[in-house]
Amino acid sequence: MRAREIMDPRFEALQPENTVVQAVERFSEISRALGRKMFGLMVTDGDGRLVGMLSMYDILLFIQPKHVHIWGEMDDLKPAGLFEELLGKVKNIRVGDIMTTEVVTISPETHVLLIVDVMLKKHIRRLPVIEGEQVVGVVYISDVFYQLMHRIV
Amino acid sequence: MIAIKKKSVLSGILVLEAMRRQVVSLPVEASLGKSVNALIKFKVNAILVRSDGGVPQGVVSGTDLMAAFYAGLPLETELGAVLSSPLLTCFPDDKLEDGLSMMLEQRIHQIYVQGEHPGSIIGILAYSDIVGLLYRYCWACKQSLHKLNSPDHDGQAGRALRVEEVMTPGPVSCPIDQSLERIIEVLSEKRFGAVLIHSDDDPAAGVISTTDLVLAYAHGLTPETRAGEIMSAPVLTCQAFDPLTTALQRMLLRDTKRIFISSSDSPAVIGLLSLSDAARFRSGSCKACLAGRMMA
Repeated sequence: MRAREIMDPRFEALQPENTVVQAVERFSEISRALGRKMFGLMVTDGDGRLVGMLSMYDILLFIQPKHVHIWGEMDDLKPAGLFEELLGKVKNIRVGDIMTTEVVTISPETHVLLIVDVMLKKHIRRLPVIEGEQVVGVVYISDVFYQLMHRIV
Repeated sequence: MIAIKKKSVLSGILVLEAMRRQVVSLPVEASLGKSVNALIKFKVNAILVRSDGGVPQGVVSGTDLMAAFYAGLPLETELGAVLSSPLLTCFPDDKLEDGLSMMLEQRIHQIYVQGEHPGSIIGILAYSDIVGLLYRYCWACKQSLHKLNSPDHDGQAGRALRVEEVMTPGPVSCPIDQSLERIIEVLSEKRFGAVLIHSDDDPAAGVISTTDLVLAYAHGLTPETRAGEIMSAPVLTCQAFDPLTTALQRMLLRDTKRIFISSSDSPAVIGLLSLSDAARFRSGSCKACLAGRMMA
């Protein structure tokens, strides 16, 4: 079994110029349209080339204060308004500013064993499938899992 | 002869204990655009630039990227064209105070920590981490302000340091219709990280920092753009009479390097407190430590 057989050929992508707010809106739109919860989306340039990925982790990492570890017990923190202010920080931020640019990709011919290996070792839940310079689909860990498990259940 | 030693909260602490181990680096041929992404994504002031073999070549800071914006360099330019070198380094077993003195003397925001092998970089020492350490130390202290009501506290709230004792008075301000080009000139001349932006009816309408200018560069704006289009608002402030702890907490929670200070009786901004001001004071919250500093 290879990537071509497991991948979802329907995919949506963001552009680096999109604002983070637009990206979050797209997350929920696409989740509804594709019937699966989107935790991240590919980012492509004007020519359809993959330039990065933006996941919920990237956005949370940006919102979260870098020095949060110094509030051991946090009992002197007043939470009122804090999250509103932290969220306000994303106003000027675009997808290209915080996306992950080191993206692991596979080809349509990548073997399922290798796909599982990459997903486990690098803690990746979705792998873009690239043919030539174009994105042709996405392999999700849930699809790999159920495809394999169908054989024993 | 008696040697006079200065004692402070940071005395006896080594660089190793205050440094951050995650060092953000890029190869020398990476583009300026890529370095902006790393700067914003990982919330750092500088990117370590490495050669093919992984040997550190220099550093590209937010200030360097701001200068590239000013000079009109395309975002595709390689980091090698703008990097600053040599790299300033210290060792993990150096005293934190010595590292801090070096940062203050050289007027830089971070120094890299060198491992045993020449050319190996194992960490980075930055103001925010040092101030974080001060904050944590003072928070845990029995005499800290928030433990005022505990039985161990001697009840002297008056010894808390106030923001006005540490701040730099008279912040620089630019009009809201000023061009970014001019703002970059002001920041470079004064070696500031940010300027206040005022409009006709608001003395503190917004603020433009090096980071805001780097973002404008990445978003394809030109240096002719007006300040009002990219400034961050509202301005993060606290009051001159607030305890220093309050200001530090506010800065650290919002990942900013500075906070503007207003006086209690008018909306005017009278000063600026930066993380480096706070680090220079070497105390996170109170005069008890300051008094104990001079020791025979």
